[in-house]
Amino acid sequence: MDELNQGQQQVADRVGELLAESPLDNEIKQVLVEGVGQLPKDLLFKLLDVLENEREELEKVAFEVKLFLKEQNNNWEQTAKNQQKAADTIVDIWADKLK
Amino acid sequence: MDIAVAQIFELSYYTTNMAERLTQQERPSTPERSREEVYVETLKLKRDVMSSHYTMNSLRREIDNRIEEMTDEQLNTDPEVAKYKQVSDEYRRRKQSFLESLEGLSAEDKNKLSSLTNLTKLEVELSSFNVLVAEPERTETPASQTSDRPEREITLEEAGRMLQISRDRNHQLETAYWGSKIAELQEKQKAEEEARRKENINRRIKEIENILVEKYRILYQEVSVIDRRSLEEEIKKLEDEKSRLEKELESPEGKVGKSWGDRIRGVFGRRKAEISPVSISAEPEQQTTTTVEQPQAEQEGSKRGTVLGWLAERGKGILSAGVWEVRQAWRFQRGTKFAANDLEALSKLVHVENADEAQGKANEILELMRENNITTVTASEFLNIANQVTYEKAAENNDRIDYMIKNAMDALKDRVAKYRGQATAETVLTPENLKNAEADLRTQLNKFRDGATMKDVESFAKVMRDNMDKKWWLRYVYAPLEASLLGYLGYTSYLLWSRWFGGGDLIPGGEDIALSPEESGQRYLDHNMWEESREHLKELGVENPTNQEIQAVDSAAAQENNIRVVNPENSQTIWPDTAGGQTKDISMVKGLIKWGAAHKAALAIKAARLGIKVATGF
Repeated sequence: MDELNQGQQQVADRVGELLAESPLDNEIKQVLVEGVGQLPKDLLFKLLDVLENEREELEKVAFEVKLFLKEQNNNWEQTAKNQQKAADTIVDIWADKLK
Repeated sequence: MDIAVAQIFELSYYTTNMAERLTQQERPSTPERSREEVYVETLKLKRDVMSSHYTMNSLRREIDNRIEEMTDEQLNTDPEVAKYKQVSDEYRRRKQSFLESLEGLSAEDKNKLSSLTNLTKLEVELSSFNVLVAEPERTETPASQTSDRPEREITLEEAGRMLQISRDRNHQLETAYWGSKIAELQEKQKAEEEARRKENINRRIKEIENILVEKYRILYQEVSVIDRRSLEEEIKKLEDEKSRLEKELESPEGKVGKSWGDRIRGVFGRRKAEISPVSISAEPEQQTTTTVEQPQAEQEGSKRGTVLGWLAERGKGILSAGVWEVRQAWRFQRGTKFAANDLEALSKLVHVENADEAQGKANEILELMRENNITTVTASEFLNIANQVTYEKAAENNDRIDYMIKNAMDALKDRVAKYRGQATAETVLTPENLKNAEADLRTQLNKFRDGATMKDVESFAKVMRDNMDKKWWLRYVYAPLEASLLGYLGYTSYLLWSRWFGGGDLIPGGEDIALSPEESGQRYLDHNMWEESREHLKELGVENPTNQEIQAVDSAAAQENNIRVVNPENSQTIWPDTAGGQTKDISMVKGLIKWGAAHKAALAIKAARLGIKVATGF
């Protein structure tokens, strides 16, 4: 079999790398990586599309978790401020009651 | 960018209204719509989804570059973040409309649609139905300056233009990049041309077979011996052409081959070695261990990290809820209620005082899960996740509460002393009054903490809802894998797939997202078993099942249900492998029966059919 040209190497590397990083079940990944040589090339590109799409979805999940964590900080900071205000009000009420 | 968002919302208004109209008015008249109309409608909805997906990703990449440095204030006021949220909401609505429409398609159309893995392919398909292809939504983010499409969808022509621009500007790195991108795209183009060539060969073989059927019929039924020669010659020519085409199909030309396979395996192995496994558990005592790849890269600096690694580290348990963990939920841990020890854990989480209050909160959480369509985890798993999400912050707030109470009590004592003087102050600052004031403070401050805790849980539930919809991952992200690749690689891989992705609906009342009884291992028998088996195969998209295929499913169901298949006339066992059964199939009554083995057999048949279909084009 001929050596792979530059474009072919790139595609092969990308598929191998994305498949290794994919959260797919290990057994399924193993079946894919072992059988990849038998696939028609258009299916290989389909696999690449699936893996790229999966990566984008995962990046979206990670991003939205980051956004959540940032907003969570805001939420708790605001809660602490509200608690302080509430504590001040309760002190006022008790001070009035006991004076 | 404002124009882009305006365009998105104009389109979104159209899509949302269209979806509403579909729901309210068009649904009842669905039977009147042709198969083609439903297919084109679903194609358009998929295009809308992809289009807003790309817009959302451009915004995401732009924000992601600076999110770590953003202050709280900046996060709240950042216009790009606000736009991202709007686009993200729109994306979710479009996803739902698309998934609903997908349900109405035949198995064949679903497969066809799933093979359209990018916007270009979708637009080509749409244009074949004379549908006007809309202009893509424009974004002005730096990442997409080269094109409105994501980089992986850039066409050869666009890449050629970029190469020329890079050369003109004498940018060596960019020139090298676009050069290699072009090489990659040329490979893809060659592969697609080869696939089309094989499809044409298959079509021609089918044509020849049809012609031959007719020619042979004429030859044997209508033509006299004298006139046979010319017809026989014609048939021979057709047979020769058919056999030449079949040989051409068998050639390794167009297959990935050994060199590719070796290279892919090599990179796969190396990358796997770079990322070492790490265990994630929802709760230390209750191990639901999940193996995910965790990058050592971050420490060593020499290896790149993975998104999955980041999620494992910072994802707050989202991995336990992730689609790839459906297997965990699938191990029959169908907890749809909170158990007593869960309620105890819940009491600790939201600091409730009694069982009624804990039950109330439990109901609230179940409702939250239901509203957010969280179906991949059990209630108690969700509680574990909620705990991870909010525990640290709630504990930190507890310390603050203690500190605030101490300061508040000191302030109260000072103020009373100031009013009354130290001596008389002590007459009212009795231990009982002080205890009551402190209790009052603690109750009020705890309420704020519990409110914030529930807000955390709710916000995280939304993140899960938007990202962990099993239907979405199965029917959109992984659909092409299921429809073609795994079928091509044989039914063993297909079964692995089916098993991995076979998680059930774990939330009570989630009928709209419930799996079919077959997927949960049961089927309602309202015909005889033979008819049920035939129907089940058809439902899975196995057209015209053969008797042998029906028997395989029927036999699996019979064995699983301890049923003996007999000849009704003489009660003799027909199928030896069912001889051990207690009930005769002829005495079966309507009702639910076990269908797990039958479903598995039917899936194997479907997988084998898919494999043949992909290999031969039919």
